[in-house]
Amino acid sequence: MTDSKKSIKDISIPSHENWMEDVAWRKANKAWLRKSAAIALRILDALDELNWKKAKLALEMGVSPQQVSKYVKGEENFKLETLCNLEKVLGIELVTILQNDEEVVQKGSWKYVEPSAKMENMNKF
Amino acid sequence: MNQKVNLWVDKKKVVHIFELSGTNRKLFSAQFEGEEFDDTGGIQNAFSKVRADWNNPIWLRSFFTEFRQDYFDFYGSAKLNRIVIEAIEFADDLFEELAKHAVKGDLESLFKPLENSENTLIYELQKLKAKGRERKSYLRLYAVRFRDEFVITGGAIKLTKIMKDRPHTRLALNRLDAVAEFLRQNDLEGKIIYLESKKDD
Repeated sequence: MTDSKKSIKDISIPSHENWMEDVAWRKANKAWLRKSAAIALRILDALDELNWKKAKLALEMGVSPQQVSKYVKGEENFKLETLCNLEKVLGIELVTILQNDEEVVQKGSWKYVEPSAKMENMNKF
Repeated sequence: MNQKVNLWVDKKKVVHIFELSGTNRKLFSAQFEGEEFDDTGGIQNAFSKVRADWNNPIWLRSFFTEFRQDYFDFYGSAKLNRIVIEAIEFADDLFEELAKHAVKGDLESLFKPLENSENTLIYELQKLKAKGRERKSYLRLYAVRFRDEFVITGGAIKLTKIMKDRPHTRLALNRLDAVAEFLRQNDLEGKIIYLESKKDD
């Protein structure tokens, strides 16, 4: 039989990390954390495309390398000013405000149709 | 398939077992040799490491770049950034589930036997796995049971059926073995193998 007094508690040490609080925080902030992660990934793509290191981005933006590390960690609650600076330096679009008569269309997912051809197609109906 | 993957993985050694706060002393995490500290010098254990990795776009991007073909073979093609965001969502879901079960004192219903053939068995030092509510999720947490206590040994992004086929899932198996061995060495073995045998529901 197993020693009834022995348990994992007897050989463990306490962890001082409050992981449940962290899980609850991520749950409460889920919406913007998703966007922050998407921005981080877009920055990483742009760095690859430009063949830049994070240090180069820090230099171009006039911020510390630690700050850039925070941008790509996926938990940064970005200021609009920072986003605009990133857009300018990296030459990418990070924030687009759509008007109520606009929508996002993926590149290559639509074709331009000549007005004459469009009329021809319409006449088939 | 990536044929260049090195299937050899170092044997892991447990340094400490950490008791995770807020779990009524039922949930623990192993800490392995060589992984005692994170990049910033903070103390880490297998559980804090897996949480940090699965919330980190850089880590996930690098992982899915390396194992992109495994993902495609299992789930079909998708854009890398979409896969990473999906993985972060799966991770949040899994950790929320774990927190919920820990608070309720119902970890038994979250952790299932690692071996599907052991579905009706519960025994000491049994190797277990947990996944979130999302059926499609490839994220797994692994643990070893002793009575109603669970030691998390780490996690893996499981994109292949056989765990021995990839170094990262093979590492997860090594961690499970190391924790079971550590507990055994600390007299947490028990002579009774089967604590309970459940009939199929």
